[in-house]
Amino acid sequence: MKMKILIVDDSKSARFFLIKSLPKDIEIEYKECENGLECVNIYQEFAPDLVFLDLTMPVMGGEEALAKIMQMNKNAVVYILTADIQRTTYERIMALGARKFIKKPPNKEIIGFVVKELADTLK
Amino acid sequence: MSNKSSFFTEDETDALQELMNIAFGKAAAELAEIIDISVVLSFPKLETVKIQELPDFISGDLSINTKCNIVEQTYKGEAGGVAFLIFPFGSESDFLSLFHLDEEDELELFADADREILAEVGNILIGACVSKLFDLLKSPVIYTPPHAIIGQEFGDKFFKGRFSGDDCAIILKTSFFLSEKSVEGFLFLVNNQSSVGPIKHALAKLFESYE
Repeated sequence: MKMKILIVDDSKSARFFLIKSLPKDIEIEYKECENGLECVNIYQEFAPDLVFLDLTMPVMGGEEALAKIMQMNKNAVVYILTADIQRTTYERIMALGARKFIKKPPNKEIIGFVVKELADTLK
Repeated sequence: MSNKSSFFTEDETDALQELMNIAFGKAAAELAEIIDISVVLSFPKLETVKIQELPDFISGDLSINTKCNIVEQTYKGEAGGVAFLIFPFGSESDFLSLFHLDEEDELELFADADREILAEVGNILIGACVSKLFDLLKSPVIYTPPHAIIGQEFGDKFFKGRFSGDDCAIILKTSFFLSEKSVEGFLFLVNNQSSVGPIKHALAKLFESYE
């Protein structure tokens, strides 16, 4: 079974770094989008197993998008990948329902581990 | 006015913006820990312009009319340059109130408290941001101490004789919201033309590391 991942970041480079960090030994279908509004719109039709969500974005930020996704699906799996690593931000975001809070830039080992960890639970 | 294509490609600009975003996030986290507040980060915008265009760029884009507060810090290395942090004139009292100094502290800082605090804020933000940026680019830099100026006119005179017309300014515009106080600031790095090559090379290496 292919794992579906939605990658949300306004930076093309950030999306590139994340895509290149995804594990190669599991089947993954991914989609990219550039802000929280696009993410919310794509979420329902794509129905991803996992969302990698940036926080600081134009149009709609990740925090608002996270809240809307959790309203649509309280079991949504959202991993935050952000440069805003303040303790208060972490506490606020985790309270909204994010499963993980990962600091940028993405690291192949960490991204590989967290994606495979989730893939195991989806089997 | 903007002349970004002559320094960096669109992809390089996007990557630099992302690295500055990461670096500034680290800087903000360090400041937030020290003064126990949350720093709300805005979506950062990065542009590069020629140095002679910088005063017009800043005055046209930031709510700074004639005077502003400037913290500057020089960093040396293959991609060395000068970092400037600019806040509106008057913001120094906002920063001072955030540090919750007692009477003894204020006496120790004497009449220069505003400038001392501004220099410290600048040191934290510039130091963490520039360090992280060049750490990500794997191009080490060393620093001179920060220098804060309150109520400086920001214009051609400020730069006269300090930089060549070919030097570039890498500008990161971002807004800070410190507790209930909203302070908009600019962070920009002025690098001479010779450092553009090493920065491009470092960016290419970074992309390669993900291939």
